[in-house]
Amino acid sequence: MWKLLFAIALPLVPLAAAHDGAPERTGSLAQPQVTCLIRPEGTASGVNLEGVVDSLKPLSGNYRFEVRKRGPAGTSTSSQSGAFESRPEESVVAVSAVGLERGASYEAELMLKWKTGETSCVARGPGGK
Amino acid sequence: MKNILMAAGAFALLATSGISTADAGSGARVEQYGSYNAQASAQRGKRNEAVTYQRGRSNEARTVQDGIRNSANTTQEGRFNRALTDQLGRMNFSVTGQSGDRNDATTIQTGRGNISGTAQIGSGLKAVTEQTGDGNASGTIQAGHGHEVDTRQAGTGNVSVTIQSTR
Repeated sequence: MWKLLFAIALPLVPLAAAHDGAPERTGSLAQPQVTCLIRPEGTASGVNLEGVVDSLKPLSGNYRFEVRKRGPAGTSTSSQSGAFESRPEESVVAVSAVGLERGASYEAELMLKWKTGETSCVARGPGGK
Repeated sequence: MKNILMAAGAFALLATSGISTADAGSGARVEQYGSYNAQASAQRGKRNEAVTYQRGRSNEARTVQDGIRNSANTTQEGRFNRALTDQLGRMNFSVTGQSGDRNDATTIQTGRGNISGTAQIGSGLKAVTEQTGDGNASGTIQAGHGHEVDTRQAGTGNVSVTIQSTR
């Protein structure tokens, strides 16, 4: 049984990196030229979440992207961190996909730090289809 | 007291006949049935493969691989089982499947381009995945109730997928 489940879900790994959805801007603006975004896209089993930095100039720094999910099946936490380098447009710095069973909810937070500033943004919801 | 003695016996087993070591291009296949079994595989080099199957309760499987394009496949059926996979290097692949209650799977991958997959069915399950490096992918599926997933990825271009279902 678990083999079947795994076989079904394994293709989701590359899919999570390949999708593109309508942007939803939930970010705060620490400096006028840098915007933090979390872009959710509903899937059949849950939601794909992209952590995005949008800057007018090339920007480098560090990111931390945390996705927490609660539901009848249990809890999950995904924590991604590292360095980012963005172009003068939107750049995806992290991708996390989470399944949402009936009654489940998620909260995602993206934190960005660079030499002269920092910002963060949060997204919450069911968000699945 | 009995459990403690049995656990001590299991680790004594781990220190003797349950250990297998191998170098590049080797394969280690272990099947164990019953309770309180312990298995450990250590491999270094390229394209090693470790396959572990344990059926019973309170079993423990440990796989350590150091190198490139290694593969670890651990399957456990029963309750209170534990699986630990530790891979150091690039393009390694780890799959862990557990069926039963109160099982625990931990996967640690250090390097880039690693892939980890964990599937668990039962209740009270726990899956921990740690990946350090760039371009890693982690997928975890749990079916049942009272589960816990903790995925930590450090680096760039990593992808995490987690699915929990009550059925």
